[in-house]
Amino acid sequence: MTEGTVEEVDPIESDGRFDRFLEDARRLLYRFRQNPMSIIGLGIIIFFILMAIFAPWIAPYPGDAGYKTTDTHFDQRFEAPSLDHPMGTDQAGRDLLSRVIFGSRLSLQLGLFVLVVAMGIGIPVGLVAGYYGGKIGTVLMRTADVFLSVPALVLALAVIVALEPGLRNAMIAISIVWWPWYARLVYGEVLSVKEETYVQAARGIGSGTRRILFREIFPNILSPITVKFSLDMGYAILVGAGLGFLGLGAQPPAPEWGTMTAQGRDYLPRRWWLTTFPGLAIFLIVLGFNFLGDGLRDMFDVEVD
Amino acid sequence: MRYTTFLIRRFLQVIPVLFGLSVLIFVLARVVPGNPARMALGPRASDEAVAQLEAEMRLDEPIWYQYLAYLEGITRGELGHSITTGRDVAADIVIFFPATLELVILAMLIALVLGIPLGIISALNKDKWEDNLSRGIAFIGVSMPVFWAAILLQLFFAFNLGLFPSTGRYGDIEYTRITGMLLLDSILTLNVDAFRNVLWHLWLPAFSLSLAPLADITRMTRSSFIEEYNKEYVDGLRSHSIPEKLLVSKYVFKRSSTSTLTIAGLDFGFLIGGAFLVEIVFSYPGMARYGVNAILNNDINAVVGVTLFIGLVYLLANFFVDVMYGYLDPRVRKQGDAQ
Repeated sequence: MTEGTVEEVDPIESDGRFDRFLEDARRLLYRFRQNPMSIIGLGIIIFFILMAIFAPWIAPYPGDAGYKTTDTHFDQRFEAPSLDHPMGTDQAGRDLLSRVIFGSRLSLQLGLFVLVVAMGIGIPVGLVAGYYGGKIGTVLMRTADVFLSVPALVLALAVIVALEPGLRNAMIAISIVWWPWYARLVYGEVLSVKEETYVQAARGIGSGTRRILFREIFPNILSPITVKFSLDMGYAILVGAGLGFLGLGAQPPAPEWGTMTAQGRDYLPRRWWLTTFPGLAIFLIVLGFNFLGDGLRDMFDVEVD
Repeated sequence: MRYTTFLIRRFLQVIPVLFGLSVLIFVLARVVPGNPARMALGPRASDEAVAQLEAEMRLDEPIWYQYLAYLEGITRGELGHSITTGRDVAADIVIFFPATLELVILAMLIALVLGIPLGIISALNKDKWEDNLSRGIAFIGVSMPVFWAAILLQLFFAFNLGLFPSTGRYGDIEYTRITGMLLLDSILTLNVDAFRNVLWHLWLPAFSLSLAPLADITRMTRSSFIEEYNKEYVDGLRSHSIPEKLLVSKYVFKRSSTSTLTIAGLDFGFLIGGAFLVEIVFSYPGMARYGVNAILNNDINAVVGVTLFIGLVYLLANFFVDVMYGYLDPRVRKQGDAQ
């Protein structure tokens, strides 16, 4: 059995492929390193991911950052940043640093969820619309246009009214708003590659449509999708934080950065740290994804709107 | 293709999208779990009130009939009454929208006035420190949460330095309402005091709102300018000893401005979304703040009205951009032909 399988693989052919792959990867890595911003971006993102994973161990007062209930220390309200509380304490005496650290979990979770759902809907829609074209294509893309005809944040707000404020519904609302961007991106890419020789060759040897779409076309349009994914992680987190800020995303006491900023606003201008640090966290994580996305764009040499 | 044909064709494309939008929003307003009327009025409302609203929303009729009734209302400019205040939603939008429009237009102007020169300076000094600086600013601009930028500006310029008011739209001034856009109204009535007062209030909200579009416009101007600048005709003109300044202002800039226009059109939608956040920070009495309050109160009619209206404005803005685009660049009209 095993011997048979080994013999079927042409060693020269497979070695050649692997070498080509290595060479491609090396060239891409070189281009990636050429752009110092992408390295900084990657650094920032790794920093936040580690922060999210190890939050319970890093945060000095994990009890202050629960999602449903938190510890309160009313005798320590509104303490300005100090060694004990590097970011100060909030209106319930909770350690702001611990809450900001736990907040990275919510934002990353939101970004990932939104993009996985948006790509899960948008990519197949774009593939089908671009490959078949005609009436199906028109109907699908016009539907996408409808979703794009209202600014993302406004449409997400309208969707939340139909659901109910909360982090999960915010994630659902943003996903509903987001998929058309992927549909449109993939649609454009498919149109440009579908007459390429390798697609015609696949068609010529009798490959099924599904195989052509997912095995031939899809791998060849992965680079713009990757770039868009990185840039969109930042945008999705921004929109999510915006919903939180409006009181329509994660509900207090959840340590969501936008929600925390909104709560801190009640105590301006004296307790400036309550709005400054959660906002700074949003800014940094979004900056990281934008740097990385820009670096990836240079690396793959693609244009993504 | 003739320009008028292009215009008509482009306009006809707006209609199906608008129709789709009305369906989408209708569905959103009706998929509320349970009885939408009960949901809207809250658990403490009397049965009679719920029954009355049910009749008003025609909940006992089939769903397609409800949709047609709602569509017919829209075409007559009727968006129903607010469930919480009982006021006419369309009338409320007429009151609140000009404030938002004024804010958005000023923000867009700031973004264009600062972003285009920054982008050109960046392009002309590619990879030098000017370029790196303006690209750095652009990165910061797109990455800042708009509400956070607004709060920081408010903290520093209003609370700490006291240079600008921290909230509101105008102070203790007399003004005459004509369009509802106070800057325009005060110009029309030659009211200098009002103009200065309103601008003074508008400055911080507009600037915080303009940061992200400013960044986008800088980036887009830079990249399209570099692309245009490297084309062969530029070398050709240069060989005819056309001064570099004229070359940049008359030829390169004009041709590269179409992509700046496109990004500005796209950013218009972003500005309206961002206005929702900025208006909250500065307690600015615009439509965005009205919309947020409607959402928090579960005021479905008001939410539907605001969303539809914003969709309409956004579609018209993009239509307008395409029209200008087609005017500036005749090749776009040709592309319409091919489709």
